[in-house]
Amino acid sequence: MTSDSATVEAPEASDTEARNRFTLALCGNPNTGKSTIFNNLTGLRVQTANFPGTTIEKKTGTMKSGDRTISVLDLPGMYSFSAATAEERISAEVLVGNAEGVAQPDAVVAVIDAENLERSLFLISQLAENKLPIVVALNMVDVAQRRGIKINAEALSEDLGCPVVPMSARNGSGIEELRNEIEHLLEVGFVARVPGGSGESVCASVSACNTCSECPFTARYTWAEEVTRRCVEIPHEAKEHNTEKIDKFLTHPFIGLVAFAAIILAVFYLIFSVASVPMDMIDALFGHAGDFASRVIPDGDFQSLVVDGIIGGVGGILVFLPQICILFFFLALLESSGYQARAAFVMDRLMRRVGLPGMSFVPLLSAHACAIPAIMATRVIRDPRDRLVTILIAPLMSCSARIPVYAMVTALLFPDDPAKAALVFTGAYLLGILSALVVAFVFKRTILPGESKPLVVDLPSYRLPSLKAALIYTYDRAKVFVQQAGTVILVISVVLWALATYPKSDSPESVVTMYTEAEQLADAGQKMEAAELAAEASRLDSQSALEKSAAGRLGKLIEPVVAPLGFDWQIGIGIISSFAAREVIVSTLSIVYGLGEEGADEEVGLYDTLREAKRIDGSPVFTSATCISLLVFYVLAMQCLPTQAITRRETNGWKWAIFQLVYMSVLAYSAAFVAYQVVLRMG
Amino acid sequence: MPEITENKDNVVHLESLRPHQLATVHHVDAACDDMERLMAMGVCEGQTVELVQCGDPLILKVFGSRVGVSARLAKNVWVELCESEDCPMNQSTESDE
Repeated sequence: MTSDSATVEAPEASDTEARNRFTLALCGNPNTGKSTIFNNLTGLRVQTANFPGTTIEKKTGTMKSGDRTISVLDLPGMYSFSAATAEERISAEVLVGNAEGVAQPDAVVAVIDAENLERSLFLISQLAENKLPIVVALNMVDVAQRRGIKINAEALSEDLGCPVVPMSARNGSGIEELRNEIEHLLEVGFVARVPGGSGESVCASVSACNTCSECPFTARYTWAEEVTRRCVEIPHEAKEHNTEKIDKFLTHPFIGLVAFAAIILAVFYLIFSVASVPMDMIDALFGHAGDFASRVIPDGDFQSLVVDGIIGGVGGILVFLPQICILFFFLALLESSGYQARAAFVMDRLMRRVGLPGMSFVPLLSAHACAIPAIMATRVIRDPRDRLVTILIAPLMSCSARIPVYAMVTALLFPDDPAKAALVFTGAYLLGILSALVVAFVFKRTILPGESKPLVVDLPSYRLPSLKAALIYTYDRAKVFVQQAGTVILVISVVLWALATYPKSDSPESVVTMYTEAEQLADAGQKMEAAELAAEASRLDSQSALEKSAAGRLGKLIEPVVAPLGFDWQIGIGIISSFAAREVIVSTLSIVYGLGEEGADEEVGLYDTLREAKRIDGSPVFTSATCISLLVFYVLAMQCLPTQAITRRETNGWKWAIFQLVYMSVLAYSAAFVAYQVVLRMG
Repeated sequence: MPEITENKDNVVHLESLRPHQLATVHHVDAACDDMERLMAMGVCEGQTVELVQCGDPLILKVFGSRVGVSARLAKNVWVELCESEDCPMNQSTESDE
C-alpha cells in the first residue's frame, strides 16, 4: 500500500514541478526594444553568463506568474535564422533546440518593431517553422502612431495565427497585456502559421549562401509584404522621417565626423569631470577603512595584509569603477538612441585603412578611459577576427590609470614648463594610438589575416534612449567588472603584498640606533624631535625591508634585464609591483626611494626625492633618457591584471590574454630600449 | 549569373544609382556571410531598394528601413532600374495613391 502510493505520488510531484517550470525566450531584430521588454518582465532578477563554449552573453531572468516561476531568456538580436553572425547562430540554435547546454524554450515572445514590420515579419516566418508557441509583442506602436502609421493588430494576429500585443515597452503600456498573453500561451500554446504551408524548412547557412531563390528568402519577403499591405496603413506624409533629416548631418562624410568628435568629446569631458567626485569618495572610503583596520587589528603581518594588501589593492582598482560606470552608461545611451550605428558608419572608411571595421572605433575610444569596458564593448563587432584584433590592441590606448604615471614622468622631465609637459602628455597618448593602429595593421596581415568585413549596418530610427535601461545595463556591466576583476585583483594584491613583505629582515643597525635615540629624546621631553627621528627611522626601515624582500630581490635579479632601458633595481621593483595595476609604480617608487608610504600623496616631495635619487656611481637615476624610456614603457606595457581577466572572459580562454601580455611586454621593452638609447645618444 | 547581366542594359551596379533612384535587386555576388547579411537586411533578389545617400559607405532604403553598406560590397550588388511601367515599385506607388 505504501509502496503503491509512493509510486503514484512520485510522478505526480515531478509533473507539477515540470508544469511549473517554463522557459520563455525573447527574440527579435536588434533595436526593437527587446531588452526593455526583458527588463519590464523580469525586473532586476537577472543572471548574466556566457552561452556554453562561446563568448556570447546569455541573460536570463525570472518572471512570476501566479504560483509559477517562468524563466525568461533574452536571446541576442537576430535578423534571420541564416546565422550570419555568432549571435544569430546561437539564437537560432536555441530556438531550434540544438544549442549545447541550453534547452529549447517552451514558448517564444517575438518582439517586432511597429515601424519596421516587413523585416520583423521575415524573422517571424522563419520562427514559425519551429512550431513553438509564439506571442508577438508589437513594440513601439506609439512611435509609429505619431508618424501616422496605423497597424491593425487584430488583422495581424489573424494573419499570423498567434496573439499580437500592441505595446510600448518604453512607457510600460501593454506590458500587463503581454504578461496575460504569456500566461495564456503557456496553457494553450498557439503556433503561428507558416507562410505557404509547412513545406519550407529553415535554411541551413550553406544552402542559403547561393541565391535568394534557392532558399525561400524571396518568398518570405513577398509574404511579409502581403501581410504588411493587409494590416498596415501608411500615410504618404509619414515618409519623410525625422531620422532622415538628422541623418543628413550625422552621416555626412564631413559634418558627421565633426558631430561624432563633438559627442565623444562631451562624453569624455563628463567621464573625467563627473567621475572625480565619486572617485575621491571611494578613495577616502578605502582610506578610512584602512585606518579603521589599523586601529582594530593589532600591529603585525596580519594588519599589514589587511591594510596594505587587501584594502589597498582592492581600493586601488575600485577607484576606477565610477569612470567605468559612466562610460558604460553613455555607451548604452549611444546604442539605444541609434547613434552607435552612425558612429560606425562615419568611421568605417577611416578604420578600414588599418584593416578594422568602423564598429571597432567606439570601443577603442572607450579604452582611453579604461580598457575593461572597451573590451566588453567589442561585442558589437560582427567578425570574430576583427573583434579579436580590437580586443588585443585596446589596452595600448592610454587609459586613466596611466595618468598618474604620465604625471610623474612629465613632472620629472619638465617641472616648470607646462607647455612642454603638455607636449609630453599628448605624445604619450599619440604613441599609444599609433602603436595600436600599427599593431592592428600587422596582426591583420600575419596572425589574423583577412580584410575587415565590409560594413552592412542597420541604421535604426533615432529614439529617445531609456535612462532606466541604460542604468540597468550599467549596473549589469559594473557587476561583471567587480566580480571578474575584483577576484583576480584580490588574489594578486595578496601575492604582491607577500612578495613585498617576505622574507622578513631585521632592521638595519643604524635604524635601531635611531629608534633608541628617538626614545631617549622622547624621555628627555623633546617630543617634536623624537617624532621626526622616529619617522625617519621608520622610513629607512621600510626601505630596507622592501629591499630585502622577495620583490626587492626580484628587482635586483631583473636589474641586468632592465638596465638597457636605463632602469635601476628600484624601478625594477616598481615594474614588478605594478604588474597588476600600473599606477602602483608611483607609490612603490615612493617607498623604494625612501619617501615612506605617505610620500606618494605629497607629490612635490616625491618628485624632489626622485630627482635627487642617485645611482651607485653618483649620477642621477632619473635622467631625461630614463624618464622617456619609463614613459614609453608604461604607454605600451600591459601591466593590468583586471584587463587580462576580462580578455580571458571575452576570448573564452587564457590563450589570447597571455598572448596580449607577451606581445605588449615585448613591444614595451623594445620601444623603451630604442627610446633610451636614442635619447642617450642625442644627449 | 554574369550572362544575365550582359543581356540586360538596365542591370547596373548598385553604386551607379543616383540618389533617390529606385531599383530592384537583380542578383548579389558576394562572399557567403556578407550575402546572408545583406539578404537578412532585405537586399535580396526581387526586392526594391532606394539609394538614399551615395558615398562610401552608402545608405540604402529597404522596406522603409535604412541600411548602411560599404561601397566595396555595394559593387557586388546588381540592380535593375525601375524605368518601365510594369516595375513593381511604380505599380505599388500608383496603387497607394
